[in-house]
Amino acid sequence: MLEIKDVHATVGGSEILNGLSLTVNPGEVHAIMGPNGSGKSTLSNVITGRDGYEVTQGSLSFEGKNLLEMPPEIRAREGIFLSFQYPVEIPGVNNTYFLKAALNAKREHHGLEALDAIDFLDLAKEKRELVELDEKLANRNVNEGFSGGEKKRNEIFQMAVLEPKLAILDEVDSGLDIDALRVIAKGINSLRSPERSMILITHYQRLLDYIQPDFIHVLSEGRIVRSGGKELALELEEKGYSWLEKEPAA
Amino acid sequence: MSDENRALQELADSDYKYGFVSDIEADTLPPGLNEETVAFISAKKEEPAWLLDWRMKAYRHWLKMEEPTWAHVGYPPIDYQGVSYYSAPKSPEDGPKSLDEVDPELLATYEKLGIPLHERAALAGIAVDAVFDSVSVATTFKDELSKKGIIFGSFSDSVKEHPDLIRKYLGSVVPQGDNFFAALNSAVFSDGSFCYIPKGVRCPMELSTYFRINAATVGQFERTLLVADEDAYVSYLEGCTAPMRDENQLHAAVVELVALDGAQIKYSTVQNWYPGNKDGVGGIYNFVTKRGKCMNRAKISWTQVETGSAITWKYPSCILQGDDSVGEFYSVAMTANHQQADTGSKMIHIGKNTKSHIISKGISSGKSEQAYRGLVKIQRGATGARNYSQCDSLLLGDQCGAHTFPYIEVKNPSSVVEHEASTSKISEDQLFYCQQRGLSQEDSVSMIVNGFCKEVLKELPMEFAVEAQALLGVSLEGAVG
Amino acid sequence: MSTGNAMGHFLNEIEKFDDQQAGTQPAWVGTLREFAAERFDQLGFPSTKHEEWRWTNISSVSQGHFAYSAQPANLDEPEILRSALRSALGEVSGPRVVLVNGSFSPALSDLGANIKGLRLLSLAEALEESDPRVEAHLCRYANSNELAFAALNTAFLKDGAVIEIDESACIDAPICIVSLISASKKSDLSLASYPRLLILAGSNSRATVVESTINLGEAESFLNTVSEVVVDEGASLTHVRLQNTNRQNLQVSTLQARLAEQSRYALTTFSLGGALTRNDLTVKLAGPEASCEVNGLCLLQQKQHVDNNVIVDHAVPECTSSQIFKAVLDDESRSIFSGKVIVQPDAQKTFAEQSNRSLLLSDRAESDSRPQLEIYADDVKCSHGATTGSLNEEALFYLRSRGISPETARVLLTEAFAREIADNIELESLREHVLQLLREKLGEDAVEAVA
Repeated sequence: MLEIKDVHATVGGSEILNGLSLTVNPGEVHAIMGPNGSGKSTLSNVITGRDGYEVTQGSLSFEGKNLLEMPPEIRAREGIFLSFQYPVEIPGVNNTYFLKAALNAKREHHGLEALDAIDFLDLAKEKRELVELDEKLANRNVNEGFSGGEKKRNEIFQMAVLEPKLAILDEVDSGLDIDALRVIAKGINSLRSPERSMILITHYQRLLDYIQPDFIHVLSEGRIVRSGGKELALELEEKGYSWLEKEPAA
Repeated sequence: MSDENRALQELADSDYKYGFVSDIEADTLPPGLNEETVAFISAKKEEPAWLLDWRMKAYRHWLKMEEPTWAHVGYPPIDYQGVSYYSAPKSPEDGPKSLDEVDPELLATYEKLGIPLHERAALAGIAVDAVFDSVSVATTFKDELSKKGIIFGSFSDSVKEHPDLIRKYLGSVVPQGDNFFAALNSAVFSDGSFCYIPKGVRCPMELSTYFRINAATVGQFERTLLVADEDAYVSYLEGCTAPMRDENQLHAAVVELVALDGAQIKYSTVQNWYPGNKDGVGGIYNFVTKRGKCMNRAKISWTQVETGSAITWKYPSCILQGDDSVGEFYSVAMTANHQQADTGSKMIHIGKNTKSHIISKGISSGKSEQAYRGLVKIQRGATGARNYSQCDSLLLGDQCGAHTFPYIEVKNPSSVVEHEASTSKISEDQLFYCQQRGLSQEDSVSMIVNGFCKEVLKELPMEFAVEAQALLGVSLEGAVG
Repeated sequence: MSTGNAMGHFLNEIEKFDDQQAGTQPAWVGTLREFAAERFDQLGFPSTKHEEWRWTNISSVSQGHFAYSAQPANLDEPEILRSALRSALGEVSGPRVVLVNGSFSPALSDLGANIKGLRLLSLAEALEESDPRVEAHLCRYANSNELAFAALNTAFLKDGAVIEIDESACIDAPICIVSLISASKKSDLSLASYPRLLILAGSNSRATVVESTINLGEAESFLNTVSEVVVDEGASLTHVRLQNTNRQNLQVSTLQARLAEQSRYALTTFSLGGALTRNDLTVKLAGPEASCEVNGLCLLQQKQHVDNNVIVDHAVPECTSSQIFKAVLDDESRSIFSGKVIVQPDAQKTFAEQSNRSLLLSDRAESDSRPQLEIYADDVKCSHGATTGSLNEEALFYLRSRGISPETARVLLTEAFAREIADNIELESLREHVLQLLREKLGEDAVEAVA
């Protein structure tokens, strides 16, 4: 589904990704772990096509299509969703309206008719319950005045509505207390399916107790230095990151 | 130019939709201004002697005045002798008696503008007075309104039918010599609207005036006078369009609002005069004086969406004369290409416990220049006065300017005056967030811009809000309100 | 423009001064003076029709009978001098230039000759020897071409102080410039003085400059100063100005600072004295990543009038500026704040803030505020805020409910409002001196309440 081959990427002239390769097949959940500054967030920005992240070498494809030729909104409509680490506030823009516009842009892209307001509201209600998002929040301005936990719930709510094929969850657990983390994880787990892949980007092993990945990759200095199963996370928890950097690349 | 700027540029470049010229026989005065011009206009309107005197006084005063230069706008000198001061669409003798008699092409013009003048007016429940070039051509719902004692009609007719009211209030808020453009208007105004809401009456429908400049090199100088008697309420809408022409056309209107004790006036404007082309050729010079006076417990609320005109010079103001009176100003101004706007509000607090609120949102793109200029003045006796002003500017592109020039004068210690302003561009984080959810760049920019303006747009009456959002280049359903 | 008569008086004065200087100054100084005199004649005194002067009527200066006096007043009583210096500087000690009526006083000054990296001298001396650095910078920044009062000062160019800080020098002791005004009451003509200050902070240097202006006696006087400040690459300059003149003093000050790449300039002005004070403060951020703070506090009573006109000009990208001006206004006093932030085209990544807060303690006081943003670049974050009001009633009640008298409560809250600006001063001796002056002005209660 997602094929990343030997990607080198620069931000503001300095190379952050340094020959990264990763293959994600339908239904797989991959966790990307690594110390701060290892390039985790850069990877999510490169996959989603953010301005300022330049791929200087290598290739990225999604369902066989070259991602590098697509602007961010087309990547999104093709089914790539990013749950932001720090979701931005957009004053004055109603959350429900925003999401409806996003969903309809995607539906149009796939040749489907736009949902009308009533159908959309039904859908939104159903998905809202998944992450226990208060209706009042859903109708406020996008992320405006939301707490950290509310912002994250809103991200997963949007993911549930947009039904992506590939969801990248960037530090989805950061700033959450244990109860909020449980709710979010429940929402995410309910969205797992044989067709939907996920990439969990996280610094801590904690998240992986709630969402169990199929594969774990350790990122260091812009490349994957080690890959393995769930047991790798425990090993990391025990030993920290520093010992890994001495190991040969996976 | 970044992608985001390009998206906005496209939005800003979208053609002026209302730039068609109506082919109507017009009765136009040759260019030039002197006492005879003033006398001609007055005679043409069959005005009483006192009004001719009033105009002459204004004209003589104007001759002694200098055109103001303090605004942050630049334009070549205006040749006031090169402007025609009167243009009436020629109609059958004595003018139209009803809508059926109105020149069909004129009605078609309004249809094109999307003004609910005819049947649609009834559906929308709006009474419309349409001013075409300089003459008021039709007023709907006049009879229905008159049952409640509401007077709503063209200024010319009202001078004949209600001379006492006009004489009492004309110039009572904006005197003839108030400023250069107001003096010019006082001398040569050709028509406009007059409205009177009697004591305790709540006007049952939105009243509306639509202004359109059609003939070339014709200046439009309409005069609006709106009086809400004690405890009356009225919501008034004003819309403006003009055809595309290469020359600059002059527009100098005066709007006077009088809100007597306990009265409330809500005055909304969507100004979409022709802004000139992409290179800054043509467009309307819009020099407008708008001011309201509030007596005890009265409230005047100005809401404006300004997207048109080559030059906008406009400061809707409230004189908060009476105790406990309230003034509000909500404004969205969007300038593109070579447009220049210097606009804002004045709140003069005289009475006790007076309150005012200013929210101004400016969006500049292309090579346009925009300035917020406002005055909040707390007079010595205005005990307990309060003002809050917020002026935000959004810059789209690196060749435009956004300026904020508030003036705050406080002479009473029990008052509280607060002013806040910010200037920034659309954040890349916001733009990327929208795009990551699948929205195109243009839609993302539109959405963010409309979100930025929401506090003002929600103040507009429903009918106008839709038009305003369309004017901002955005479909907004749901995001507002 | 003002009347011909008033201009005539000042032009006569300039002519007299010019005659006195014949042959005593280098030719280039004469040229500067001549040009300035001509511009002053053309510009005339600004009137309230002039947008930048709409709230300050300068006729008390233009209609006044002020005469330039080259003779320092008789100041040989050591007791008077010690107390004068003390009231100007408190416990602040460092190298100092003392100007009496605008003229350098060798006896009262201590030029800190042993301080490495510092050259402190009178302007008269610098002119006499045609110091090349002074010649290169003097009159390059203060705009005599457009500002009438800068032109007037330059027409009387003769004395003042020069501070030269060498490259990479760190001057720990505060460099003090004390201006004493000592006018006699006998003469029909009141005293006018035109001192000038030039500060040249070399690259990567660090220093603090303290300026203090006071009167000896109660006679009327006019003080017109020009300061030019040049902060080179990477330098950091802190500049505090204390104005505590008598209630007969009229003062117009022009300050122009120019900041090079990665330099920092922090200017704080305290306006406590004077009948009428006008400060034109302009900071030009001329090198990338430069930053400035321009802060001010006015503490005014009776009919005192202070007009701070501040311009921060962001000419290049990535600079930061902030302005905080506060005013406490009692009786019939009036404060005016006009602050303008200009962001020039291409000055991207500018960050600018501006705040003006006024506290009205009397129903006859007035506060006028005009915070302005003039922005020609798009990638900027600029904001300003202004508030005017009286003391918080709830806070007053709270203090009273704890047994504090209403008078003391008012003083306490007023001081709390005012001291924000003083608290920013890093140099302890100076901060204490300023706080002491604030307390004196707010009343003895404050001293006790805070002690």
